[in-house]
Amino acid sequence: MRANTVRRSPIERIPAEKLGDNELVEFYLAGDARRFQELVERYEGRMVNFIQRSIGDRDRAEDLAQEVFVRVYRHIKRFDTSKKFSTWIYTIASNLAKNELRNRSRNPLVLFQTLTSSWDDDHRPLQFEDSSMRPDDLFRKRHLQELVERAAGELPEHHREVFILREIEGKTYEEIAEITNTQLGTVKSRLNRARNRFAQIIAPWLE
Amino acid sequence: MGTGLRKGAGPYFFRGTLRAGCCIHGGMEHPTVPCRAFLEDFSAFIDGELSTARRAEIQAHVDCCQACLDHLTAYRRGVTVLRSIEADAPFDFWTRLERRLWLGEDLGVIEGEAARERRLVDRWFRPTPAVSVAAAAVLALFVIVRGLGPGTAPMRVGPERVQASVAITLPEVPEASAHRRPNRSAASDVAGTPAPGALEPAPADDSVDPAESALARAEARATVSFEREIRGLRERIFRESLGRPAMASSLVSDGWVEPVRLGSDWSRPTIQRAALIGPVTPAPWNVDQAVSLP
Repeated sequence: MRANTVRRSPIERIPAEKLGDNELVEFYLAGDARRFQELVERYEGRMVNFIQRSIGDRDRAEDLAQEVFVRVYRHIKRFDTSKKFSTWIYTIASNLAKNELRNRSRNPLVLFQTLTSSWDDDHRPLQFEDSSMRPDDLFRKRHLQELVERAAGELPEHHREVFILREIEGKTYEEIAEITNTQLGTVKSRLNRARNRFAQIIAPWLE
Repeated sequence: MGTGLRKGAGPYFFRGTLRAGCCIHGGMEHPTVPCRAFLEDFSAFIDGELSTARRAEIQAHVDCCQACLDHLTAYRRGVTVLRSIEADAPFDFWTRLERRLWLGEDLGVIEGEAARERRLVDRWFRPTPAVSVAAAAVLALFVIVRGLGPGTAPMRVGPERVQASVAITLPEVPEASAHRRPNRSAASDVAGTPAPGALEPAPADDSVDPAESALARAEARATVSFEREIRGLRERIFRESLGRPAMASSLVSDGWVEPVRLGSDWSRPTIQRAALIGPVTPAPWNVDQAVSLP
């Protein structure tokens, strides 16, 4: 079903919340330009967080998330609306994250440890503190978050990608296989290794 | 109940069998590490991918084996914390994206390092025919103004140098030094004799004429490989100021580079070159120095 099959009223505009991703794409392709902004608003946070978890650098993740939407905008006319939009956009984001890690490994000036350690107080987005928590609880919670992030960062790249897609983004095995361009068995194998490794790293820290 | 335990597992894994019932380790001390058979099915257990019988078997084991229970608990707790770490996209995300998409600031495409460098050079600084003509005109004017008199370094201008001059602004010659310029009569210049009415040529002594030195510097700049300069400049921006690889778009937003729109087709804006304008905030080095010869 392509864009020209979408029936829409010129007067009544359906709210974005009532539309699925592919419907938004179809409306956009049918000429409703603002639907692209709604798509962006729907995915911007997910893209930034996903890429940030993949590469460990918040600033760079924001740049790359921008690049994701630039590519979506350029190629959206070629998007097959019979497939899931979210799988497509995560594939783009995953490829950009892989390129970033590959480029980084070629550039000895920028160490991965440097980037992962940049996720400190200065880089963390402004968060309002929960006044119901005591300061020491807040500190403990913040400390725990840092430990968990570090544990995820210690996973090998391929394992981390699958782990994030499954546990954080909630993708199915099939979707992960499509996003990462790997076999289903490979996805399961990597996910099991990633999960065990993550638990192994985090267990002593949680004691 | 044996569960296909393999020998030779790593030190983290308990070399025992997964046993049903509560006394799973048959009188042995409780292991400090999870059982290997449990770890093999760990992911499938979490996702509910196991058969009912196998799932019940694993569950019964976890209820009795402290090491496996700790492993599972740590995992679930860690994932819960990880899921709680969510940050919103920056408030100006859409504004920045809109600028890139519709105002033509679509400069950054992340590819390989080599491709990125090539793109920077090719896309930003690729001279259009109009720019090439303008550059050629500037060089021709330079040759006319400068002349080819004695004591003047010959102008080395090849096709590649024309391209190099695109981003280089030649300094104007101060009026005060015009009287010292030799006559442009080619015959008299070659013969080394001043033409009638010619002014005294500038002595080739050690006193440095600001205009002469400025022209010499400009000439030297024009002979430098343009691509090498831009690459060096970019590397310096990255290493000395940004401290990390930056996308072209961030160079724009940080004020290092100002895109210059060429052409009048606004329906499909294309940036074909960019002007270096330097950082908005004081930088540890001067952009002009970076452009000049090392």
